[in-house]
Amino acid sequence: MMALAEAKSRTERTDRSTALRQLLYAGAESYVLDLLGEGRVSTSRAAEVLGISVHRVHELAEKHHIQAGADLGDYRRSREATRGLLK
Amino acid sequence: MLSVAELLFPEAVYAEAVISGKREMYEDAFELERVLREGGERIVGAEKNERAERVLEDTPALGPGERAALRVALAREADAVLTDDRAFLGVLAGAGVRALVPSAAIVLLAGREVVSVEEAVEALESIEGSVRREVYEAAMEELVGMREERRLAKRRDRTRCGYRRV
Repeated sequence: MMALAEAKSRTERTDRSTALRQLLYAGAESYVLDLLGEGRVSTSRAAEVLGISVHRVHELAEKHHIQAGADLGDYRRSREATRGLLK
Repeated sequence: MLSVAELLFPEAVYAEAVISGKREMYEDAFELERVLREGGERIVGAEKNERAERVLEDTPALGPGERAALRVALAREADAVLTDDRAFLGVLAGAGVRALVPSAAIVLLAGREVVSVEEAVEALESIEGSVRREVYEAAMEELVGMREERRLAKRRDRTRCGYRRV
């Protein structure tokens, strides 16, 4: 990890601790997006732990082709459960 | 939806979706603010209540928006929670709270004739990129079925009234 930070700091002309922080953040972001895709954290929770807005989470999910929305089972359950609404 | 149902918008959701979105210049946030204002938005605080706290106690998966939505839904005995978040949908199912996903809401509104099938198809197409393919297709299939059903019903009515040329 230190070697990677060293290389990144040289390439991007930044100091090593900044490069290391950026690498750690990128790892955290990727991990949280995976959890989001697996339905293990919500969008709001992902935004909270990453310190970004829910809009940015949606943007990142789209960029990484991560689907955080309802699946077919959720859709069918929703249709069934709300059949009596608005009557 | 705002024309036929009372929509309770928790403050925390408003802060996430509108306030912080506007701060970062997301167009969706401005649009949502406009729609809510025109529809007579009702932004509500999230009162803590025993049932919600019990559910939330062991639920680290939710953020402030969903936590507030669950509190509001249970405190005010809402008919359903409108969300498309899988993690939240899982918690709602476990808590026995009805959830309405956006594509199902569109089909429901068309089914109740709050909007026409054509308007519903248009609405569904506008969210195509943000919903799963299989969900989009299932909702579209229902709308197409609805359109066909209405077309046949109209034809039956015309026949009954003697309008149909033989």
